[in-house]
Amino acid sequence: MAGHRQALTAMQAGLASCHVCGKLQYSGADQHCVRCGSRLFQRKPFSVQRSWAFLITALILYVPANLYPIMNTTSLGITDENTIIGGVILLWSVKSYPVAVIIFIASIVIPLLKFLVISLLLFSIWKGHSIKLNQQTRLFRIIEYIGPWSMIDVFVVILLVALIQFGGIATVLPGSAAMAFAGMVIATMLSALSFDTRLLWDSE
Amino acid sequence: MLQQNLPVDDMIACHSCDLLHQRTALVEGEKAWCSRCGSLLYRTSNNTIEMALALTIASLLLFLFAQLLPFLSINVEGNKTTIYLVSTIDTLSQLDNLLLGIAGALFLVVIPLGVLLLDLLLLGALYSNTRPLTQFARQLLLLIGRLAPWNMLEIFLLGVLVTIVKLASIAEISLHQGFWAFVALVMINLFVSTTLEPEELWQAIDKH
Ligand SMILES: [Zn+2]
Ligand SMILES: [Zn+2]
Repeated sequence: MAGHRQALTAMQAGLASCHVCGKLQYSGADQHCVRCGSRLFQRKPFSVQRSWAFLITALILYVPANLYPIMNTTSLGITDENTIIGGVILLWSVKSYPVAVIIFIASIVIPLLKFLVISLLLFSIWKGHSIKLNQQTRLFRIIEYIGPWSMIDVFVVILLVALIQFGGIATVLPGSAAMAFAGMVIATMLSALSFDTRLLWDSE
Repeated sequence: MLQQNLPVDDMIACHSCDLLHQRTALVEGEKAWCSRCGSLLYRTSNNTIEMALALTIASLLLFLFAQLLPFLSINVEGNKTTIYLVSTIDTLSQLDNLLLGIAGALFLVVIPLGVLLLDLLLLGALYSNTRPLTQFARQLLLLIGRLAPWNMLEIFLLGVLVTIVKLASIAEISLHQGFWAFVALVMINLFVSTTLEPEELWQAIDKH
């Protein structure tokens, strides 16, 4: 444990820790960090608004990402359009259980979990709910960490497109959902990066 | 409410809940946690700048090997194709899907290589104390911090593994040196990112 507890936050003491380098310093209006020169804020500016904006963008992109095919496979003149969930079902049907589970979690469960948790926490800030703040903070850190893992399916499409050139036997082309899906993951990451967990604790 | 006499240089505010804590010296490998929300406050890195520099140089070499050596080969009914990672971007750029090509180039080459080169410059400057370079150390570390969340090499590795399993049902796959160089690169990257503490780099820069 680091020292004894002081029941004071940096904001209450008129201090700010730099969002970029973490340096603690006295805070004033329109100030720049003494160590790294970044603009100094006590809380991330427009955190709630930016989080919501990116989250809603992600939600909108989530629809085409799941409805449209993520890749089109042409084999012997027959074209298959694979949606994300279709790909998971296909993997399951050929008994590729571990891969089916990985794609299902990364592409479907993690984005939904991220939407749910971030909107819950934003709601909690809005209402000033200061219950179980420990759990709320931990939940956010987990979501923040697992978020980028959703990109797996985009990487798989990129790799399959580039790798499969079986001299005309089969071709794989990216579907319209691939970019929507990549955009959705990037938007949820930006939403999490804009979120400031300190706002949860400010109501305590 | 303002207390102008707080020893701010010996204090730290929790990044998750903003509670102030007094910094105390830690034994190597020890971590300090927030007393209110339980988040990690700071830790000592069990990695020196010298060690991190050596690992960065090794990573750059492995990155080149992974890109330029044969990555894997696909064998469909006697029709064998060997694939290089570097040609992935080339193939994508030939498609009319420009956005996916750009995304691929960014996530597979530009960001990971950019972070490694910035690491090399920063650690090299701090290690050798080269005057013109140390002046840019702050900007280098700022840029590394900005790029870090978008560096997804380990996620790409899982993508490679999933792709291999998917292809293994229709073709015979053999892995080559490029693939193993990539695995080693990801391992080293994970090790460096979990052992090198940015705060200690900032403190090292402050000393210059
Ligand atoms: Zn700063
Ligand atoms: Zn805390």
